[in-house]
Amino acid sequence: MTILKGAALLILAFIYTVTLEGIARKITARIQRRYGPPFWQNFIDIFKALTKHSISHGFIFDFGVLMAFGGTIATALFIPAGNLVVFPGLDNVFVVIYLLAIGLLGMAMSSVGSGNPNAGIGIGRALTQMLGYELPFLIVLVGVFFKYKNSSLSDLVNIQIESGQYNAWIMPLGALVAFISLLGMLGKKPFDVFIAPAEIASGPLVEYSGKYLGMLLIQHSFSVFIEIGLFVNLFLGGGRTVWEFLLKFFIVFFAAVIISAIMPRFRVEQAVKFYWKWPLILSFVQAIIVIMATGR
Amino acid sequence: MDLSMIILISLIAAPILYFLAKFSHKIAYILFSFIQVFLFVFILLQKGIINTVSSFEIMDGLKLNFGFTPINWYFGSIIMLIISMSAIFMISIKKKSPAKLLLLSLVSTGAIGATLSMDFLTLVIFWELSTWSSLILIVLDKEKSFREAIKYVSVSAIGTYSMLYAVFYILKSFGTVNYLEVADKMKVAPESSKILIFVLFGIMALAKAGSFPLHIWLRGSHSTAPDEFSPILSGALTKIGAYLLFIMVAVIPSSSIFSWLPSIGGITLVNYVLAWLGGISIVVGTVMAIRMEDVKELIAFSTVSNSGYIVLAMALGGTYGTIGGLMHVLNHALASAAMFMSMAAVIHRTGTTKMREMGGLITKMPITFAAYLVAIISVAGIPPMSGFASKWLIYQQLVKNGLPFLAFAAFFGSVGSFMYVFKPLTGVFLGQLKPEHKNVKEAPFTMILPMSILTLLTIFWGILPSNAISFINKIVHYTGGKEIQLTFSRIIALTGQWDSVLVTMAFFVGFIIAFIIFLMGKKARQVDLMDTYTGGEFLYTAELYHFVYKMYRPFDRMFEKWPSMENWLTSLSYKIKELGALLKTLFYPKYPQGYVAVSMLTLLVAFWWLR
Repeated sequence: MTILKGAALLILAFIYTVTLEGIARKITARIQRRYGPPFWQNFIDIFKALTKHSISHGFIFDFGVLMAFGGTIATALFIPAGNLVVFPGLDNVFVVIYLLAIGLLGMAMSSVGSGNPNAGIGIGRALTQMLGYELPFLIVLVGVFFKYKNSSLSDLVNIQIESGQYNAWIMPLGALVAFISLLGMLGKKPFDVFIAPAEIASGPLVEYSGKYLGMLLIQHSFSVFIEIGLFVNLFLGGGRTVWEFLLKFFIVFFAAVIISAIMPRFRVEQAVKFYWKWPLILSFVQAIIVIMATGR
Repeated sequence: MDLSMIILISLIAAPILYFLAKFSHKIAYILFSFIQVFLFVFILLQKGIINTVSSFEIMDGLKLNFGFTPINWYFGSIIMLIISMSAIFMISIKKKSPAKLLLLSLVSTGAIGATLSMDFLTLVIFWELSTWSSLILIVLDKEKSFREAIKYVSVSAIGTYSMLYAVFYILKSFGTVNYLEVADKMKVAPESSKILIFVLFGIMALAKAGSFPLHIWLRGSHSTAPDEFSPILSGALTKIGAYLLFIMVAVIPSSSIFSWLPSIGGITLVNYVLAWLGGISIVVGTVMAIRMEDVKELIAFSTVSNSGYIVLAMALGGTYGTIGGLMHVLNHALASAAMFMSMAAVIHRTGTTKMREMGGLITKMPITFAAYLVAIISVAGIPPMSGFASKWLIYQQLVKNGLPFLAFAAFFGSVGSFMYVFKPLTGVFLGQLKPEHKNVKEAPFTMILPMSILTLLTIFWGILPSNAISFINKIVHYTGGKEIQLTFSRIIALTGQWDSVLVTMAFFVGFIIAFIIFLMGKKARQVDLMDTYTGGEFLYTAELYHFVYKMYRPFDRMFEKWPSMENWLTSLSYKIKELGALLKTLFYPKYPQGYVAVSMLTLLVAFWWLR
């Protein structure tokens, strides 16, 4: 049963996020007054890439891609999607956040292992930016866990549904901070300097082609699922059914896309300084309010 | 066998090894590693035994007490594991000398004696034995380490004098130095002496663990020490500081003896201050480690950061904090020793410690790379390795007490560690291979063996952290704390549970799916590392095409103007020198009579003042 649920979750995550990314391209195009590709374009890209010839730069180049893909799929299994919960009670948020890191490490290792300095620059920027956006997010989470004395995603969803009050209403500052952090996690526009195509030739992705690129595109769509799924489950109460979850997922994704469509790009230290200024202050304010209100 | 016999064997072995090494380096080093492994196995086999106190009378009334409690066993076996593995590692190192063996034996004796001690006096005697021998050991290889050793001397002197003062103060006021008896007497002691003793011990623990504000010695002495000694210095000797800290906060339960002080977030003020020092240490260590260009300096600052975690966790106390702190001692000992060893193996083959002078060594030294990779995954606290379990428990305690600012420090160190552990990975193992390293070979077998053992242990306790925690539960039970619930694979804490086997399984399932997709695609064409996208440029010099020097330049720019404690201390020392020069020109008389007169005058003033 667990295996079936896991397979269902992975297939759902894949189809839904890749479709949404196609729609996102369309939305961005319309904001920029272009026509844009059809919404299934991303499926075409992925399957085409998987069937093409490719080059490899040695063992670590291959191994890192497998590690990135494996780690991200493993993390996606811990995200509850409405009533489709693979590991109820065991989906600890810290496990999700740190297991996602093994995928990032694999990706970083593989791309730097290609020997291209553009990849190294991109990874250096990505890790620096990570120090920016993770901190406010984790501080908000301390408040959430302190309030409920629980850090299991599925339990948090159930608590929110039963009480009828989403965390986004109870702690609006925290939800705002988490959303800003989410933009950084997704690598959406103001915070996309680590994959800047014009400056560093797409950074970490510079050397990938064929099946490697295809696998990393799939991996990217899974990590989008994890990051937005985390936000939806933590702050918007997940969903009673899968459909409710997917609807909320779409709303958050849409908000992120329209913001990124009109934004210029931050330099990496500007991004980190920004995160350590307002989002961090707001997250501390939120955490202290929650801790004061709950009582130690 | 009697416990004091073990320490005696270790002590007597020192001169014997010294003279043996005069004849043959190789035999003496092999014998040394055998002795260390024997000592480790002996301590390891004492697992079930509790309280076999054996006293060792050197003179009338002065006894050295050794014994086994779960605490002593835990710290003793971790430290001896690291020392014995480093001893095997040393067999194939290039720079061998009899003096090194003598001092290493003394370091080992001191470490065993300190961790198996049952009273503060024994602890301080053996601790100093290992400190002073390690001090001489540091300066043996490199010229520039003299300057760094002076820092080590001064910082450890601050610690030692405060500890000695505390020990004699305890002896004078309580009449005993035994841990448990002192713990009893501390409950009824006057409030001022409680604080005095706690602060003095705290200084010693922070100085030896290499935690803020007494962390300045780690950078120099870890990086300039002989390469084979750095794992011991970082993995084993700093952990004796954690041992003293554990005695302070758990055996003499500081939370109960300071219950009259105001408490913040359920933590007494004294522990709260200590936790803040740990938190600052995490941030300082992380920021500095990210900015280093020398591999060994980088790992030295990562030791500062991880010592900060241990101090933070133990000061927080509580079930999860204490257990997380003890587990972190184990994890960091394994990981930092493995990191230093893999770097020592690289230095053994390439002869440099600068990251920008290496690169692309993964094809030449794959096993060393694997050891380093597992160690850094553990240091960064990523799930399938053991480092995650301890950090997870520390976060539980931070959430339980509701301390967002300390949690900030803990998260900063955790996310920042991704940055600093990745830099050597890029600089040393990945990227372009330097032409002069074309003929580099894999490290010799005696180096690979200890690295592999440490790596396998890290993986084992990563998949089954419950195995280690079940023993730590016994320690906590022994000191009267609360244990945490465990099943075979699950750890259950305040905010839910996680299943380590399930996480590992999920990762492997994902990996297998990835592998199947990978095999289904067309076979990739292998190309050279220089055959990359360059935007149309033609490149022929691999050494210029390796990106690691100032990898985190944007981050550097943010922290360039931050106050540096080392700079502050350096300029302070210049000021003191200038003052001395001024006094010299003012008061240094040209005739001996005048000199005598000045000294007499000084003595008279001193006498009048101190009268």
